[in-house]
Amino acid sequence: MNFFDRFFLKIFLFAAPVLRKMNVNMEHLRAILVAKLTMDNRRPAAFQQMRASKEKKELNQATLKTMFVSLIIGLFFLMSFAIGNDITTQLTFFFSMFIFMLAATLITDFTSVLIDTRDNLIILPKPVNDATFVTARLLHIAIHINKLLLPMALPSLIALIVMQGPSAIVPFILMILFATMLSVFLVNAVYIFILKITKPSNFQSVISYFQIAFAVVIYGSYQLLPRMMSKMGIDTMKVSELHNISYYPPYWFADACNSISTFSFESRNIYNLMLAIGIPLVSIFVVVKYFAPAFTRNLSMITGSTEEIKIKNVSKNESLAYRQSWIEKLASKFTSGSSEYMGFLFTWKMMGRSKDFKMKVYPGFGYLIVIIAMMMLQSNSPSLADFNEMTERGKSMFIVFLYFGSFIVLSAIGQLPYSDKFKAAWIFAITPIDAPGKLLSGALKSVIICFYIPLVLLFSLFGIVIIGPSILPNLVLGCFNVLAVTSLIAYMTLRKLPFSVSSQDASKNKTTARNFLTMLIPMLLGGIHWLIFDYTWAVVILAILAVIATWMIMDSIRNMSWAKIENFDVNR
Amino acid sequence: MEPIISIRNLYKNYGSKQVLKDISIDIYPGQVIGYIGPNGAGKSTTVKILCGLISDFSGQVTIKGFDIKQNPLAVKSIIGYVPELAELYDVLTPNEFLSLVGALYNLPPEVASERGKGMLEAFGLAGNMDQRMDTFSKGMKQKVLITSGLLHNPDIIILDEPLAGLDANSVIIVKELISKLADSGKTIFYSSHMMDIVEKVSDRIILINEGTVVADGSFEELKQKQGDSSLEKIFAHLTSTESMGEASGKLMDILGNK
Repeated sequence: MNFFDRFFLKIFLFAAPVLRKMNVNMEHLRAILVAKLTMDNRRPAAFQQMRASKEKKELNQATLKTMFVSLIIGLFFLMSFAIGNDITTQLTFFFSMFIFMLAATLITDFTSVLIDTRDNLIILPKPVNDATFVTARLLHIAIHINKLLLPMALPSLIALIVMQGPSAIVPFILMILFATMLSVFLVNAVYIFILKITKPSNFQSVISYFQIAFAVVIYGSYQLLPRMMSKMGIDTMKVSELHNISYYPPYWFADACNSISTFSFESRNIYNLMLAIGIPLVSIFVVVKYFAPAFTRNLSMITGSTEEIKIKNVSKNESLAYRQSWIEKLASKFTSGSSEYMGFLFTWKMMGRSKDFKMKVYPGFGYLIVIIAMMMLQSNSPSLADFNEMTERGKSMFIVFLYFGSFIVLSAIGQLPYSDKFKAAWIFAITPIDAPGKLLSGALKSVIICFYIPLVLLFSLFGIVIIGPSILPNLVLGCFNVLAVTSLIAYMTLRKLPFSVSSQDASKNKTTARNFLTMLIPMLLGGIHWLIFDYTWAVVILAILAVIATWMIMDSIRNMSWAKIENFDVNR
Repeated sequence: MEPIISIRNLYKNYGSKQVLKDISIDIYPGQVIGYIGPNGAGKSTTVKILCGLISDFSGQVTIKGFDIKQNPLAVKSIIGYVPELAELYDVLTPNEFLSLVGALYNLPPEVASERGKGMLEAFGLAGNMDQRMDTFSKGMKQKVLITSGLLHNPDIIILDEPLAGLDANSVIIVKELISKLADSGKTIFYSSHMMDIVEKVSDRIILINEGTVVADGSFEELKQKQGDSSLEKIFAHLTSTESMGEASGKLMDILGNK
């Protein structure tokens, strides 16, 4: 509990007389809220969850940190006041960003902070009536939203007062309120949608995909928006002149806000005002009336405690017969010996199922797509002809695409040793594994086949169709350069068994300098490749060398002994 | 004597699956009930119904004269529940957690604090009262949970596998605590898998299998009726379709050991 928590608690408990009438037990309500707010203060919120640096230090001021980050986001919103020609346009941009950011934050916070299934076993067996329990949950959500909302809206409110005078205060606050209602509706709609399309037990992982998408969209809009704006001449545009703009909710709020503060009520303004007030009210009614009950029903299932495990009926022969799945067949093709085979399969399955791993590595793909899109959007973007005739630009793009994959592989390798379930790595300690390097090489092959080979295949197909088979030597050189570099870096840095170290240690021993260096090597090789691109004989020779290098490095990884494995200790 | 817990024709379905089929039990004050059964027999469901966590069942459950459907709050006030698997808000400290629980049981803050501190001290957690529980071991968390279940001095105590993770000395403390509580007239409903402990602490054993009561009586009575010497054997006899010897023999065969 800090100043803000006490402040919000006081404000909301002003309603005590009304709440008592509703049969709410104020002592219970206060006790639950105090406990909940104390817990919030010790838990990282959505903004901080994505970061790799999970400090071991106890989190004490999570609330203040969350509010501070919200304030920074709020300052970022000020950008919208630099766009466009009139205040309605600027506010439309502001409300777009506001609704998006609030909804995106709430989507993750709802599961991690606001809906705690432990309540079912801790609070419900106590003599607490339903009205108190529901009110506590609603007030907790309201306080939480306020903590995000106020710092997000504050900078823009001040900016608006400076530009328009104090008449802007009331309409702005009103419209923020309605925009918040709409965001809550959106979040609930997404939740109901997820619950419809997946099993409740998968809920958490679907939400984490949303988080990943969220991070990518933020990154993308940060990179792409300014470029697109200058390209489309948005700096001088007026949203009200756009076609179909009246279907866009942020525009309603912006227009309503502006028309109230300037007292201009033309028919179009009144129409927008009605939508800005009416739609959020209807949507919040839908949430309370239809979404919330369905939600509570599914809530207990999210943790999967009551879900039945279906027992598959297998005939005796079927259950005992040994049959390889496609990935096992793939593994046995690319590995030799049971340690390497096992390292490959283990890594493959853990990469696909560990939420922690996906959260750290998958955003990288998104960033890759954004960067490619960014290059395409540049004023002199390359055309197919560039590739067809292999102009200088076509060459550069080819190199960039081919070598960029190494960053994904490297980020996956960097995450490979870390897991929440690191203690389970005792299996490597008690089994007679002669060379742990075989596990590592299996793991590395798994990463490469999972993250790089599909990219290469796709790109080769594209290259051969567009450019013709003459590109093959360059493809082989690029591909094996990346393989050689990534396995070399893996040889130097991957000194821990896969998924055997606590995630909390992930940030400790990595320095940015080292990260930067590992980024530099593929770029350097790409540069050399670019220089010799047209000298086929050189490309062929180097390609052969790259294949040999890859093979040799892989072999050294395979032979790595226990002595080289860093502080492997299951008890940590 | 009036039963303190009376369960009449209790049925409960999850979807199409019937978990409890016509359970009727009367429990009297001061009894220690050992409630046992294999996984999926309906133990947890019964416990959750008694605690008022599940209300969509059919049949009648009365606790100290209160119908649990009509008067859930009155029932919850006289029950102390210790859930299995350390379910607690572990970023709180034991003191903070116990003051939350105390408030929810309508205890005056000073009483809650005094009792909580005293009980934690008795459990040897005096030095940990202001540390966050996320660093606690399973046993430490379990001790806090037991404390939270007894804080309001309830008439009925429902324990769901309460000894999980406790060290040997703590097990002795809890076992003695259970018999002392029973001596002072408290009713204890002890749901567990640990046969040896159920055999020792409970004066009445109820065995359920596939949602119905298959045995009910003191350990001596069950021994006489079934002709087995230990609770473990009685349990196996009543709940398993296949003999245990056969299963272990099969396991040996697969490894090629004869």
